[in-house]
Amino acid sequence: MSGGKMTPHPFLVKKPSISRFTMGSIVIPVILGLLLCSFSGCRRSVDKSSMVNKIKHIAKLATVEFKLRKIIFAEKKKKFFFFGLGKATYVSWVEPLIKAGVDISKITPNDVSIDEENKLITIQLPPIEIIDYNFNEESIKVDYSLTKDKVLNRFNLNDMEIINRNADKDIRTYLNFLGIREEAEKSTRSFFTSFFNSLGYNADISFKSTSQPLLFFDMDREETEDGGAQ
Amino acid sequence: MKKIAFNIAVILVAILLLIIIVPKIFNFLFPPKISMVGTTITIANIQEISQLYITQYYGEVINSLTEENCKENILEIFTLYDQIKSYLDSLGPINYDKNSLKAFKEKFVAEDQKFKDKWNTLIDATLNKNNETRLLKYIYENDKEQFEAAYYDAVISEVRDNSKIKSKDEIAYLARGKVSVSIDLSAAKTDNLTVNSEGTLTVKTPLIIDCIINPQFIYGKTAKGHVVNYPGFVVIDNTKKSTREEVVENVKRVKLGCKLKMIDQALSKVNDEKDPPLAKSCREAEKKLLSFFKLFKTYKYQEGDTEKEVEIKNVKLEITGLTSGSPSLQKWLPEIKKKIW
Repeated sequence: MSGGKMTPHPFLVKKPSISRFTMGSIVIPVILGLLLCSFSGCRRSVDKSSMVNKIKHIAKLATVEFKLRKIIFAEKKKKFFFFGLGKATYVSWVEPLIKAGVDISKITPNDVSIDEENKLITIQLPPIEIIDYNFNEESIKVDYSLTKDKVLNRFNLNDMEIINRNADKDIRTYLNFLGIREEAEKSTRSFFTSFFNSLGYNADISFKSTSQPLLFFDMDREETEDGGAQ
Repeated sequence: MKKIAFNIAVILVAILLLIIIVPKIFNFLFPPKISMVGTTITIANIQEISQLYITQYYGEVINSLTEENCKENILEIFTLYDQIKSYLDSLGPINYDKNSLKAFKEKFVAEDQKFKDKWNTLIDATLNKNNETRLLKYIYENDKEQFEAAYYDAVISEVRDNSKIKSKDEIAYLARGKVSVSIDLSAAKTDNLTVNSEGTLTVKTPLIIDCIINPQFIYGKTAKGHVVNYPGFVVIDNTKKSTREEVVENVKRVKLGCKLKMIDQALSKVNDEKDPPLAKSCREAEKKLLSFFKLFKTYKYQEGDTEKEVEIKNVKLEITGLTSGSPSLQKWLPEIKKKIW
């Protein structure tokens, strides 16, 4: 026995546990942090009521309109315990309208230079943005021959709204990949070139670069008539 | 024992039937799964435009099929105004009670089958029977314009307050969207843009009014990274008695009604006691256009045969009319025009 290590009885082994002090040092700051966040507006949500009923005066020039086309195809599956109740299908077409252009109120005197000698206006325009996005629900055409309900599995109004919302999200996601920026730059150039020509000048038009996507709700910057940010 | 088993079986069958018949319970217990089949987005058409957006309004409204039906019937009453007014004038001053209504009906409604049909349809669809006298009183006491405004407001507010007046197949929506006012700057390429020797640049352009309500009112990230996700249309009420085709048509009507209401809301918001609606919007646009044109210092103008240059000191918008980007709103432009001018 001497020199040998004594193996303690399993019941006598003190299990490694988090001390009260350690617990306190983790939990209390977390709770305090959460409380602070909730009071200091740390929450990642925005109050909708601050967005509606607001008038905003703007000066955005739309130079191109895109008519898109998308097939909306949805399936609804339902189970009754372990039995499938068939698959209901909904098929429709929609033609969203997108208008793109530039915000002319963002053009400053520093962006414009006039060479009277050579009759040349050099202008750097703000980046292209989506000025109007219209899902265009009026254009929806339901294909009744392919839209089918099942006995206990039917598409109701709420379902149709969910489907439209999903299609809407889908379109917004893919807007950046449709070449809208390039087309809009072309048409904006064409508008300003003919405008400057009417003033008797040639034009050298470029656009400021941006890393921002085409469509996002710029709530943090938009000023309303009431003076507050939307 | 057999009796207990039988009772349990009956209860179970009843519960099952209840679950199947009441869709809400059924959907709660066996939630459906909606999945979208991925489809592509194609560009159907690209068109060059020159539209300057000058005012935007974000709004929220509620509209129902009952209100739409009622509105349609009221518009029918407006078309009958002249006929009813002439009938009432021929009756002379009367008390608007049950007896006078009876006299009116005996003399006019009973005799003219066409008028009778219209009258009965309107009364059945729009109001409860007790309000027929009120309708006659409104017509007798007001001119056409006053009658349209007063009667419309009275009936619509009654529809909202009275749960008995309801369409068989109700559909009600809460809608959030955007009303925008823009001007057509393609005028800048034509003779519609003129400059005088005092440096006043006049732009002749129609106003373009539009209302957009998307399935997603706001969806995406803001510049500060907030994720915002609010639906544009929220179904408040939906009784399922119609076929899918009828529902789709009725939904379109209710949604168009939402747009018109939102335009009304926007116009009343921009309204000023001194100014006509949108006058302030035009003034703001003039200011912004002035600061834009000032960037280019001078502008050429024709005086007789000579071409002169002048510095732009003032921009004036001359509104030549009203138009809309939405084909469905075109029909309602005269109504919107009345509210603006």
